[in-house]
Amino acid sequence: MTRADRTNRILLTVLALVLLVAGVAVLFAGADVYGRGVSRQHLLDNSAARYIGAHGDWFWPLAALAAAIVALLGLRWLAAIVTIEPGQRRVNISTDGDAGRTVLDSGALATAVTAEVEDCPGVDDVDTKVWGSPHHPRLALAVTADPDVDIAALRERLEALTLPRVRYALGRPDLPINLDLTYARRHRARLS
Amino acid sequence: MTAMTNAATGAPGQPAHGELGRLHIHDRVVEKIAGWAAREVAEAGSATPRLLGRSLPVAGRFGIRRTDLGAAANATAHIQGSATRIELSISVRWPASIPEVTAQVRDRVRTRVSDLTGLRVQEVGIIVTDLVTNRGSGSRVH
Repeated sequence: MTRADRTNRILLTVLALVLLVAGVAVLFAGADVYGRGVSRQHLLDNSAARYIGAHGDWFWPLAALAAAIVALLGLRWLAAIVTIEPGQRRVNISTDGDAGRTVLDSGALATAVTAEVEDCPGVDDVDTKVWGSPHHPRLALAVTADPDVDIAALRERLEALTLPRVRYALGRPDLPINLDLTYARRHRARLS
Repeated sequence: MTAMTNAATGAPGQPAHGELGRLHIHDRVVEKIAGWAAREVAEAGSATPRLLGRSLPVAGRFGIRRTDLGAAANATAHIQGSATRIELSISVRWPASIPEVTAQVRDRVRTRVSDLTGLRVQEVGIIVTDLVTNRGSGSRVH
């Protein structure tokens, strides 16, 4: 789990709570919880709507500006998500000229690496991402360890046994691999 | 598309039929030869096709190929004149060296296709769409 993931999750949770509260409030209004006759009132027959009606000359330009800012922020968020999420679909294995190119599907790579790491004792869960460009792929491994595991030993084992196998299989001894080790639930340590 | 290899002027290795006529080799023939040639490399085999990065869940049914190191790989061939281009989609045993295995597959496919059909193999593109781990979808246990 990265910092961006956490921020996204918190913001989306807050937004969901706000929308949920608003929706429940409207349901209550419809059920006359705030007093009799609320459900039969006209939608725009209240002081806020009258105020906006009276001051429309400056209110609507301001509202348009605020909406534009929200839209730009939304686009920026979308761009950030889109560049993080799909990762890289293909990894180039070799490009020896006219003989024909060799590519590896990165989904297959992620599945194999995940299986390989999950077989290590003490590993609870693994999330593998392939990113970078097809010519310069990078691997990000988020490993969740069992709470009672010596994380330094697990890291050593992964770096000495598992990661070299991945690099050997791809024929890239210098493949950059980002290793993020976390304990399940309890404290966390970050190593890379 | 079919290849028209005229036996009288054909390249070496082509069946010599003299003036009996022309030999047409269909794309499918080359595809089958290439698929079986890829299977001959012990660490390569057929692969489940992928859609948007995920293996199809219906693999093994409806005629959709399953990942299996002992089965012939899926190949597409395009014959033009006396030359052919081949695209292979294969699986490779993990953690074998993918560059080495694919180089072997490419060699084997080249040799087999040119020996059996007399066509010149211009290019063999290889897409590794699955990796067979010990506990994975592959049927062969190592």
